[in-house]
Amino acid sequence: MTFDIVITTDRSMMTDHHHHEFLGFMTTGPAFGVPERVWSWIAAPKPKVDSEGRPKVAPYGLRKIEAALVDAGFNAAVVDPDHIGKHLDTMKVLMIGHHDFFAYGPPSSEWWTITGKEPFNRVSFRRFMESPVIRKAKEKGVKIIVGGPAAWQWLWALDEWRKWGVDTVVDGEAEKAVVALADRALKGLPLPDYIFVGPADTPQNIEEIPRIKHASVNGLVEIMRGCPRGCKFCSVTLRPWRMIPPERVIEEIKVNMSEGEKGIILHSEDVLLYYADGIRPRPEALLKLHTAIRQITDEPIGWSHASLAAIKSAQEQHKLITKLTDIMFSSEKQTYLGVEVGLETGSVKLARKIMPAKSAPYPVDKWPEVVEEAFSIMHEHKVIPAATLIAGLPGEEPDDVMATTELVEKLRPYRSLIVPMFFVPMGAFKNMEWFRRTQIRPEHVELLKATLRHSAYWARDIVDRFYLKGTRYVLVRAAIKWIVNYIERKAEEAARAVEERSKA
Amino acid sequence: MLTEAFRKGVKRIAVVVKSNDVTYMEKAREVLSEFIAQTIVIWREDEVSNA
Repeated sequence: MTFDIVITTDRSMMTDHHHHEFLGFMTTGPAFGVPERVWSWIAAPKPKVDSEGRPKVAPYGLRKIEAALVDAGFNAAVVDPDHIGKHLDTMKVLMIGHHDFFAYGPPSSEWWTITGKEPFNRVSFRRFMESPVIRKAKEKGVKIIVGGPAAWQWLWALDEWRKWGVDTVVDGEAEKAVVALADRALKGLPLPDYIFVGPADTPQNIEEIPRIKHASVNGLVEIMRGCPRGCKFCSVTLRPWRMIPPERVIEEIKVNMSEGEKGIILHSEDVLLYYADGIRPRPEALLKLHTAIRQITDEPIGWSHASLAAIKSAQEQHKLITKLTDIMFSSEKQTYLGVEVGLETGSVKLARKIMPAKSAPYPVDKWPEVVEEAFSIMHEHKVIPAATLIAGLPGEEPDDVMATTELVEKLRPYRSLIVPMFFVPMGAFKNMEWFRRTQIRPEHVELLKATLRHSAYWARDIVDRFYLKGTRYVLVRAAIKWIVNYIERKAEEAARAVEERSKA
Repeated sequence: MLTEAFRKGVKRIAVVVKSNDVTYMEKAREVLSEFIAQTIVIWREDEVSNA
């Protein structure tokens, strides 16, 4: 079987992370403490493939592009990066997606800053693009089209753009744009260098959003696009706010189940704002969706993201966290719920500047209390958040960082992982060593130490009691604990080095 | 010119550049890195003349 259009990505993305999405975070850091091959095995094991090299599971974004092209009548398929060679003589277009091509996004940029080493995802993508099979494809005239959430990074990687012969970069929701591009490419017509897909060219209603044809990594399915919060720093708010009805979500879950993918992760910028009244959660559709999922499977349900304000509001107004976890935990297979949340800062002053709507419907000056109450609600309901915070933003002052450190210390009683993300300006990547030496200040070190103490403490508990239970994961569990210990030791050394530098 | 187009509220903008290399993006990236509400398609002049 041959495909005119092959859709792929590098190994750091084409993997199921041992069915544990949080292990995917490891692909954003450099291999440390263990050889790169071991790191790769833990973070990005190879998926099973069929005789054509089509993986059993693939990232959801690639599945959407595949579905859009198949629905439009193209002969297209997702293929594992190790098996592109099988299609070298027949493919005409190679589409490559990624969420962090060059490790310029968080948290990759932060690990790069702290360790001074290139993250695994960057190394892996470069290795893929410079592999003989990709070079051969280019020689044969295959058109290379890249896109995904990290498309913007190509604007800062012009040498690679030129060197690797990328024909077109597509930035934005691409289901409609790729159909037109594929048509031009297959007809041998010239392609544009760059497309930024504005709101007018995104799917306006759910009928324009294609249903996936094959299984997604860890059963991720989207339930909503866009976000009503209106934060000035976020492009998602410019797009139309669209809900995927429960029936459509269930259809995609059934696609995953029919191909043996048992996991379910509901993806949204904020799961609790599914069919919400603006930023106020409403229970009906959320309860309907979770009940419908429980009726067809007893496998664990995960959430991609939720906002802390929505967690507090949903529980206070509707006891919704209790009701939803009751539905999920009615299966013996589910004992916890994992979700990513944005803590961002403990400073009211900084919150007012960069994210005045983040705490809504609560006033922004209550942000630290909103955070702590949401963490308390989650702890009580066995919801385990992976929280991110941002350090080093322009305009940040030492007291802002200290306020965040204080908040992190207050959160110690609540089971969670807290990951600091360093704001790294694009220019810093050309002189990372200078950036590391001059921009990481002593108060940042205190914050990093506080988050590390918190996360190392809870990581051991989570790995043992919730996340990687059973003999099946004994090796992964042991390796992760070893890495946590190693990071603790190295972080202490790094902190001492920064402290000594600041005294000098 | 781009700013003028943004002000007029157009939905789509086609930009044709004379460069035969992607280095022109160094100039364009500040605009493209912003959150913009238009579709922008950038072509090179030789591509347009062949299209």
